Amino acid sequence: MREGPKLDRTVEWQTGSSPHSLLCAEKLGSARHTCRVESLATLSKQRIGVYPTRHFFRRPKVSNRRSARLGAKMRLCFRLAEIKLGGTCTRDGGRTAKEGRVVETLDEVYDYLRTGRKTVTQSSVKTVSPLRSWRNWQTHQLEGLALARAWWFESTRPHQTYRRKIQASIGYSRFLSNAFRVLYDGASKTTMRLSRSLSADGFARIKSRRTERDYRGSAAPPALLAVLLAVLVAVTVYIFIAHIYAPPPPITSVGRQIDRQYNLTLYVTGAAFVLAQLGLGFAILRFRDRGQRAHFTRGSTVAEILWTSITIIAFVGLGIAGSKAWGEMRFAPASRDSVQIEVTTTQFVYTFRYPGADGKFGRLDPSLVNAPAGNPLGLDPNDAAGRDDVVVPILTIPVDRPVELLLRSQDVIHNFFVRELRLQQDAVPGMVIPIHFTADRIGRYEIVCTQLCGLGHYKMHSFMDVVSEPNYEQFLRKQAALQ
Amino acid sequence: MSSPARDAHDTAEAPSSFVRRYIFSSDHKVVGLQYFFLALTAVTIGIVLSLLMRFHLVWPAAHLPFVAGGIMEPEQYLALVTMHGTLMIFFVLTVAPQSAFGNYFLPIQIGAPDMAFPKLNMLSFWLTFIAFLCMIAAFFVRGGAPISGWTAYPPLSGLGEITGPGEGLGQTLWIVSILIFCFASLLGSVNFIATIIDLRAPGMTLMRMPLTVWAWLVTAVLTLLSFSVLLAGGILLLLDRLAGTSFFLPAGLVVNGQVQSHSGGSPLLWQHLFWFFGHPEVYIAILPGMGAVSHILANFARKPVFGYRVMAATLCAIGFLGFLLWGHHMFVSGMNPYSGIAFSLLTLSIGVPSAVKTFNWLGTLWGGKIQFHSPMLFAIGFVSFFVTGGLSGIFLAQPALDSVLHATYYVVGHFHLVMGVASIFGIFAATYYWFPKMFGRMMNETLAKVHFWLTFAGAYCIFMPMHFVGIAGGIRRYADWTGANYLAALQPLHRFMTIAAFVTAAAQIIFFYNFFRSLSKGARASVNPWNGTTLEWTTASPPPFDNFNGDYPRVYRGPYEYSVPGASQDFLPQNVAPEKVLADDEESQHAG
Repeated sequence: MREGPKLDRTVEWQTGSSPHSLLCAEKLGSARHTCRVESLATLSKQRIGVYPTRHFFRRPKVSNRRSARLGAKMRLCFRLAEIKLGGTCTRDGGRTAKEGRVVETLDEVYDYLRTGRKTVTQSSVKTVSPLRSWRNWQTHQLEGLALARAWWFESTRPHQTYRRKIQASIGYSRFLSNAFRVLYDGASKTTMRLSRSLSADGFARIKSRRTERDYRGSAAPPALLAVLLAVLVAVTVYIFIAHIYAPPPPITSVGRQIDRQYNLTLYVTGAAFVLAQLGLGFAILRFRDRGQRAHFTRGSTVAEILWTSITIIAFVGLGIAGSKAWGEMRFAPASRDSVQIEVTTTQFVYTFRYPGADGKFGRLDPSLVNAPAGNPLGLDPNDAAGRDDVVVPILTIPVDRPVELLLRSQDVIHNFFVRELRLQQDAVPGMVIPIHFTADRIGRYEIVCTQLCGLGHYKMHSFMDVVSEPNYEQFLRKQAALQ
Repeated sequence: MSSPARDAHDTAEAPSSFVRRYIFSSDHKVVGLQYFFLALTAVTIGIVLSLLMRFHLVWPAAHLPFVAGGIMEPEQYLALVTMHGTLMIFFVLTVAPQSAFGNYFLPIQIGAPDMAFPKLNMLSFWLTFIAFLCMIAAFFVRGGAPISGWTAYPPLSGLGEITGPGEGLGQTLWIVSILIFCFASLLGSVNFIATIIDLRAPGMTLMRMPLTVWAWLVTAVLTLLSFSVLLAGGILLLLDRLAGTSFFLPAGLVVNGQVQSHSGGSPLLWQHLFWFFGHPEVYIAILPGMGAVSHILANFARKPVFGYRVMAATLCAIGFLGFLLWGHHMFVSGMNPYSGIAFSLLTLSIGVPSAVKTFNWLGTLWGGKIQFHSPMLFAIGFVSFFVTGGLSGIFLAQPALDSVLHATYYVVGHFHLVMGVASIFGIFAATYYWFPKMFGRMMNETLAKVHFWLTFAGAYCIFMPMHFVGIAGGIRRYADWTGANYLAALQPLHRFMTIAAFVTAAAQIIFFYNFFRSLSKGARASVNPWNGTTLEWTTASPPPFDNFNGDYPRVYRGPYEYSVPGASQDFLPQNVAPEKVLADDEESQHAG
């Protein structure tokens, strides 16, 4: 544990490093202190460059008249206290050793306010022995006691030095005797606790002490929570690195681009995830209640600006990087030579229609829809363009050729999703939605519906066969003959 | 300062009849508790529904309780999906953090005797209650509850029974219930806004309001603007169903072989209206939790909230941006793909204030003196879940990745973590934190901690694997895995999640036991058991009828004055007057 510089209470008292001491000093009519307070008030009023960006030394907002009247000096005291104590409290065995830099003269105060604590002269830091310091404090305590009471005056010095002395004296020379003493203390405490617990009264007392200790905070909850967070991070990172759960490899170039974007996003968010969760675990473990005083701060503009800009860059950067794949998939129209196939969704089947030899889809009429009679789409038999249309329940497409699907729906909203295409698109009644892609691997892939479309939603699926060019021609010929 | 509420409270004692006091009461505390118990009822039903679903997914052939016919049919599964979502989102996540805790603590935290419009407040609750009954009634009508999900996309939800069982009277009741709920929420939000603007105690400037109050304010504004849109949309949908209009139904629909006579509507219009409500709704659920968590973190870290102004500003920023990104639910809906980019960038930009909040929470913890009481544990859990769920949202915010992950279990895992579990953890934190104030007794700390550990680990075990199922392509809202061939491979993960769900649900029994036992058996709570600084900790536990026994507070400082250097106590309550201290000094000096 780092020891803060020791503080001379005398100097601190006289120069007013804490609000109560300043007030007390003023009350007691010490010319010196009053002078200081007033000069500071003037300093503040005249705005002589004492409005640095440090948030805690901003000009006070006067919210109402009363606080203006009463508060000017007091706020000043408080703020002075904050400058001195706010930034650099160090923890010292559970107690706070307050900052040792003492502002001696008005010039120094001015320097301090204007430039921060660096320029405060080192000569004003005085080190005295703890005992001397304690005596100083005691002396001045008498002086300020009456006033201090109302301020919940509390000594910052360790009044009980017994424990510390024991610790300090443990060395090789007295190792055995000290070890015995420690053991003896422990044993006698245990015996005392046992004997007390025999009486109901004692039991209640121990119980209340236990709750008190709970309030002081056992290390178990933060430790367990930190461990849980670490396990969460480890398992999650492992599953991602080991690629245990991943979709099958993509079969389009856009799909591969999407996977790259996915990986990029995974690295960025993964880093944030690991840092944030482990940081949280560390913070709760490190800053658990060990009887210390919390480090007083209201925030930091620098930190806010820093992490705001980092997140803006990371998130918006990801968004811009990701929009490329999206644009390639959706902005560009399908090339002119692409194979056009119409996809019609109904509860709970996909129907695919090829335009046939003439390259034109025939007219559809909703009133002619009759699935049992073999006309699920409502093809108008009077339209010549529709005579050679091929209607099939499974999608067959040629490999390495651009394909354009025209998504329609007859009844409710459905969806067309093929994992290997990395492509999902709703089929919305009343709309014809085109999507296009070029599959570059032969195989059979599953088409599923991802938009809740009724009770058979989970059964709604079909297949997409990516076949070689000759096979595709053969498929078309065979289907044409069947129609 | 004079206001109708205060005058009424100054002149009137608490009503003495049981009915006026506890049932048709206009006291904000009673209304808050009524909302709380309504949410508790709804969450119990919601959990049971989710357990039935999880069980069915893993053991589809098993006989289940509460299921007509014993073995669950797909439409029954979808009815559970719909009702679980609806109950949880409307009657738990909207009601508990905002209406319950907001109603109870908002007036106390700003030093007011009641809400600005107490009678309106009572009306809001009873309308919400009617909406709840109406929603539950959907289970018991012919065809059962609706199967169209909580999003109720037409045409599935707009055509009546022909699109599926549950789409008849069940769906109508659902819409009516939502309409009543919207109306009640609108009344409530007006009341919240008026109260915060008009009834703050002297000295309670905006920048001295606790962050909970900020969160309730922003949430109330969101409620006002978004629920009104849902109300309009819902009325249109009801007209489509009952009056033969065609707002959302296009021409040429052939359902089940029957040609429909509608023409001219657009299914996408409903999606725009719905998500214009639906996305802010996510923030309606989470913002009060954020407020409560900031409040609780500061209290138990014994530090001021890190960057109080930034925290208030980010609440507003999230609220504002929350209205501009509904389109990210519709990347693959057939919406213009160019708008996808705009919605994507806006969505990612809302990640910025959210991340800043997280950093500030960590900043609040950093250098603190953290005391691990159960509210604090749940608040820390909230931060963890919010981080995890928020980061998985970064994927979904990109349309290119959304076209892979959309409507998979990834989405389910994401929104359950960030909106469901995080919000619920906010509610738990608030419950453990304010229970002493609400009921004058402490909850059992050991049971609370056990509850926390099981719930924290359990929730991660349920919802983290969902992300992996989704990445592998597992589709949500599927009644079983027989549809597509690859889905069966994900069964082991589903089994793990189901077991985790049952363990976690069992852990909630501990909470219920602790809660109801502590109501009568808990240790008496002091006025300020957590050494808090805000006004609710300056009045009795539970607070008297007019909250402050006629002694209305004046506020002298910000809400989170913990560990102020120089002060010997590590908290400075908002209402301790500086001049009172000075007066004491003078007295003692004269005496000396």
